[in-house]
Amino acid sequence: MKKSLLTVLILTVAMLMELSAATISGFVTRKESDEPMQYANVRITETKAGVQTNKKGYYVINIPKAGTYTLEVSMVSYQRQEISFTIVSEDENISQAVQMQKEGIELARVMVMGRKENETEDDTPQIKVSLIRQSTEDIQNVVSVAESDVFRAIQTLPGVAPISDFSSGLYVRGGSPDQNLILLDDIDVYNPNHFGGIFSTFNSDAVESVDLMKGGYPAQYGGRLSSVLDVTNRQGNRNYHQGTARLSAISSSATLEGPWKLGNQSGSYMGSFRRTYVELIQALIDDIPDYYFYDGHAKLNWDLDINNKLSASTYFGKDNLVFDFGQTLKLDWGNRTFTTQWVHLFNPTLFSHFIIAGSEFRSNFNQISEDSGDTFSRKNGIDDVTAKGMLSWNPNNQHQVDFGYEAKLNDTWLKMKTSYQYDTNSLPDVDVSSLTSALYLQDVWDINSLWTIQPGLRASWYKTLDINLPSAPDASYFNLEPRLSIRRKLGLSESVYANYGRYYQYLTLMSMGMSTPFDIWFPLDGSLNPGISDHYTLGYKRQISESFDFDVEAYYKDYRNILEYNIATGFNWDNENGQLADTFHLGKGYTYGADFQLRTNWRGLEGFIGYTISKTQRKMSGMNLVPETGEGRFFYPRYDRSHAINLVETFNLSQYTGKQILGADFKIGINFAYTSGQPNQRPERIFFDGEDFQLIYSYTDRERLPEYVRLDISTKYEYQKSWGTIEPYLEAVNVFNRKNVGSRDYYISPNAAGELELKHRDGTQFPFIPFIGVNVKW
Amino acid sequence: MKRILLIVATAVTMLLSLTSCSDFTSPDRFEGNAYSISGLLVAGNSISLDQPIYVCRSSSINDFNALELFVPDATVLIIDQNTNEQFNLTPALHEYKVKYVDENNHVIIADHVYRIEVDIPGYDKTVWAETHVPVSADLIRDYNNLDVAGEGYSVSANPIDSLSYNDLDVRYPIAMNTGNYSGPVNLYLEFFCLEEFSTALEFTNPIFGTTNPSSNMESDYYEAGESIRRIHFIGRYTSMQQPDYQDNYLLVNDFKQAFIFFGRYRVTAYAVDDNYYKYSYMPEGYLYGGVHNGLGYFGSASGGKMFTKVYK
Repeated sequence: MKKSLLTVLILTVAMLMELSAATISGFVTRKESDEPMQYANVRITETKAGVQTNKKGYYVINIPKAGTYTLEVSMVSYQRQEISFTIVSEDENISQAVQMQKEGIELARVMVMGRKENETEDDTPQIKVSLIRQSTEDIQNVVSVAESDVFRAIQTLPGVAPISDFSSGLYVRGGSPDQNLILLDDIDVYNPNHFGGIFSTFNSDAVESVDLMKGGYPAQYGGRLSSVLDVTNRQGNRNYHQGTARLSAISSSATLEGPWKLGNQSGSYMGSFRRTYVELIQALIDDIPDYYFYDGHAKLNWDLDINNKLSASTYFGKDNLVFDFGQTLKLDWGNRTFTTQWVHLFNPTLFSHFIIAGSEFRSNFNQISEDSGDTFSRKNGIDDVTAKGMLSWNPNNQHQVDFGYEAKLNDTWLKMKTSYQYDTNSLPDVDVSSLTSALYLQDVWDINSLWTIQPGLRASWYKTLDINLPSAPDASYFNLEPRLSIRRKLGLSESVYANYGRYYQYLTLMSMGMSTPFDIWFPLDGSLNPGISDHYTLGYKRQISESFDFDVEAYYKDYRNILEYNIATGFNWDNENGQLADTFHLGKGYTYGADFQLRTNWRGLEGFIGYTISKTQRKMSGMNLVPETGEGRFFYPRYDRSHAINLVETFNLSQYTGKQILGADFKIGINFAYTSGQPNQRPERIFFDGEDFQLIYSYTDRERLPEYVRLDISTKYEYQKSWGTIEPYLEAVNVFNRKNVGSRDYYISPNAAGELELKHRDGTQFPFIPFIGVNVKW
Repeated sequence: MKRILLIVATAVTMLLSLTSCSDFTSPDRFEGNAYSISGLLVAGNSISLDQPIYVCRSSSINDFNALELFVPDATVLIIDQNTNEQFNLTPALHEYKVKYVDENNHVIIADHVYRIEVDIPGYDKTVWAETHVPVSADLIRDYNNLDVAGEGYSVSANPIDSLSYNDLDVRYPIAMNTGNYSGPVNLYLEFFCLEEFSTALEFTNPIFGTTNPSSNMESDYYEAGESIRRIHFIGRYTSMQQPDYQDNYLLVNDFKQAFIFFGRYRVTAYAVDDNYYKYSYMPEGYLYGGVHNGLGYFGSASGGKMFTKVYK
């Protein structure tokens, strides 16, 4: 058997090698900044062979015969480039860098945005399942409280459900936030929230692109059951120094970028820093909590030579909160990441990308008494050291073989101490370290002009290295994760596709249900099996015209061995005899539904309309108990939303009509969101507990809260100056001041007739909030 | 375009047909009558009108009738599993409630296991539960032996001793003597303000600059369970030997923030069994109180109550 497999492998590689030919390859960059242009469409006019540039802006196309050809490069909002070149011999490798220029810069001011028909992703070999790509501009066009925010923008996309105005947690196609892999420059970010969830940790000015994979993601990604959010930091302008400053009511940020040159070496830098100043409001209003956060991104790129590029990037952020209620509560938390990357071309057809990176998250909670100092402290953290190698081999235009490895070392701890005479065995003192490694292989095979198949396999190993709980067993798991996508083109700009993928998760999260900075990540011990999910996706895409794209995806995901934090653990922790299985409810679940999206880029109107219909259910041991049997029952989790409609559009009046308002270019943005109400528990009965009447509650999903409806509007004026631009803006969140119900608490109270009556108290979400601010770019 | 519309129409029709029969909610959780027991046995005391057992028939909120809530004709049997002694409780109407009490005043003994069996006419299952009474724990009112007249905690609300808010938990910690026993104890503390609601009540710690409650906080004040009037705490403490003392003690300092208002308070400190412990902290605790074939709790405790007036 092994011999046969080896023979097939050798023959396949030999066949692929035999098909190799001359190549044209290089990096595509933006002319205005010389930064790499991700995912530009590149093709040879004569052969119709086409690819998309990768995340580093690299492309390679094989050319089987000598001759003169035309290289076409296109990207929405950029001028199409056509470059003629000649292949003299069949082993010739031509290096061709391409610079793309924005249409708006040299063309007339009045223009129609859009792209040529047939410039679709279907021209490219990769099958992009459930992928939504957001650029910096896309993110900044979404109206958000105070300032643009990556997670808030992602929450408007079809298939993503926000749980509350006060949480930036992402619930993607029935998955919970712990099932999302969030990457920043290829390293995990573990708790990407600032206090209150109004801000995520990423500053949109520092972000180049955000790829959201809602399911069915390729073999390169693993370790989470639901989705991948892949965020890439900007590299910085390689042509000249520039800056952006933003000033809003509660925060300010500044971003600087530019080229550097030392001798014959060159590269670019980018740095961005943001800080809130809510604590200044404390000077006006006594007794509000003392709070601020800051965060920063920085990246340094070194273009060593044409075949080697190095970069180092970092993210750091910290929140501080002090609250006095007789005793003083001091809370702080934050993420730090550091990534070093080496992009190396072994030859034009073998592109490689090596990464060594680290990430850490820390949270500290201290309760301090005036009389006796520290009365309680809670320290939690997770460290991550990761090495990755990602290689892409294009032996010919029919195959793109991606392969690589990943090794990840995690260490997590949770330690509590108190001056109270607490049973020390009941206070968590846990430290778990683990190693997760994986190999992956994937081939994108363009069988013919109609059919493409993309099989992939990821093999993952997981092993605990050290656990300080004496009764917790070690874990050692090996799993194969097959992935398969098939696409059939129906026309030049129309296709259908199907996908299957299996996913495993070896880390889990202790969360109280809302995404908060005090959620705790834990590598599994041997008492818990890894979570498993199978994804099935069926999709259809069509570019309707130059201005409209439409896609629909139906999906089904099942979940097994999923975990939810058992709140009882907080009172029953047992360091001596406990294991992690004591800490979680174990269960299963499923979700199915469909996402519809119509993207517009029409007469200055840019954005999308999205609609999602879905159903998500879970069944967990020890949760939502049937009284007669004591067994758990399937329930709709809090984030289940049957229907969701989102309209996110920006209209650039000046670009479309040439008119200015108040002497400035004028842009108006609108976000409209409608979602069905969230499941809620309500009282069914009353009993007497010896002191008072108490409520007996229904299943957790007995009712739905009222629908959520919100309209946000923003207006921006852009004044062009000789040195740059000034952009004052006015935003209004929830313009109709609708009282969207975020939670509902019930209580009983006697009425005038002396009868007990059930009443409720609603927790509302954002009221009408106007914001003003100004952005300055130079 | 026709193809798109066809695909969209087909997908929407399929999904709507899949979901049209559901409002995406669960059915009712309880059908018919659901019975509950509420009872906390306190070591050193009998099951009396002050500390009775309640047997209730839970009713839907719309049909709630206080007179039908209490089951007056149940057979309630208590068995001391250590001695096999059995005794029946009898119903007594007291303060508009039906209370099951022990007319023979059997004293509940610390560290014994008690079983309750309740048979209700018309209900074919026996509702039962067992509780292991915690070891004996005596509440100490003046742990530091300060012996200041009129200061500290008293055994009743009238007359009542008083404490200065600033240093009450330093001078008068909550202390429970567990004798020879050292080890983990489920500690239950309750701080209950005996004052009736008034906007003249004063917060011990101003909330966002507010020193007195507003009138719309009245319903919060009288709310059942945890409220601004009734702060309770439960946790797993350790009883251990203290310097200069021979016995083992549960000792609690730094608790003054549990007094939300200045005024008279009842402080309850109990070592409680696992049934009452789970009933108290778990969401939907009535499912975890150790009662089989019913809801509620059957727990036990050692400890006591004391009173004080907290002044500025």
